[in-house]
Amino acid sequence: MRNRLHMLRAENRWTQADLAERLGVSRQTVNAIETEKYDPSLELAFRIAALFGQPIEELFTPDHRGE
Amino acid sequence: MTAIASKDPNGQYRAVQMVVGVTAGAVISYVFVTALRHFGINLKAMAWIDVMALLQGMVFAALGLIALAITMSPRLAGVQIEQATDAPPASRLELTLGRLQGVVLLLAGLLMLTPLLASELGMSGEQTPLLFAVIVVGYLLQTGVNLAIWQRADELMRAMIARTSAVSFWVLQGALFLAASAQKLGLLREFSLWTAMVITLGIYSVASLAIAKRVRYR
Repeated sequence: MRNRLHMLRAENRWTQADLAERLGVSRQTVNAIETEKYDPSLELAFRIAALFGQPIEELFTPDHRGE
Repeated sequence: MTAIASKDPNGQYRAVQMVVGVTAGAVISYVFVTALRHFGINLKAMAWIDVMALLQGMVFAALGLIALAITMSPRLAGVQIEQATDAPPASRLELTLGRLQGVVLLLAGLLMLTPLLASELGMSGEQTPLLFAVIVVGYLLQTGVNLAIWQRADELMRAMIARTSAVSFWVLQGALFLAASAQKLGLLREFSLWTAMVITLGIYSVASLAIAKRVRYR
């Protein structure tokens, strides 16, 4: 799954620790999502979308899109 | 300071980590080997599986002590988490999880070393049931701490624990079947539960490291 988390976090000038605290997860989790090593659960994906005020499909896109 | 800018292009973190790791490893190894000599335990006379168990126990205990030492400083723990010298300090939750993991590793090491060293020191008779009771209590304590980690962990950590368990089960179940088949056919001699446990723990450790490496900071 591809995502725009890194870009959105940078726009808000938040550190990974800042974002992790807002989401109630560890910064390892934020880092792993940003580097696309880990796909968040649906629940966490919705929390991320709500935090940035964007629809979930604007943040996360499947790898196979456009194939 | 943002985490985007906090990566360590000069490798300063890795240099410090290497120096601290090598120094701590050398000191702990020296203390341990000296203690073994003091009690008259000869490494060369030990079976290879016992040497492997000794190494595992020593590494677990050392890693546990190092984790506990690092989590005494939120700043140092933050550096360790992000692997960057300018990382923000660790949060209270990160420190708690780090300490609990340190306790689990330390207990794992001590639990591994206890029966091995007792056997090497020739402990027998009335002392062994008491020692076994101590091991059972230690194991129950470690299980409690593992449960505490699971309860406090976020979804990534839980996913890593679940993946490690799944990979270990898959590999070990296959290995058990193949070993049992080979034994049934007379191709493999019988081995002890101790041997099986040391190999099992070794495979679990490798699986755990491989899975943790996939999601580590970069």
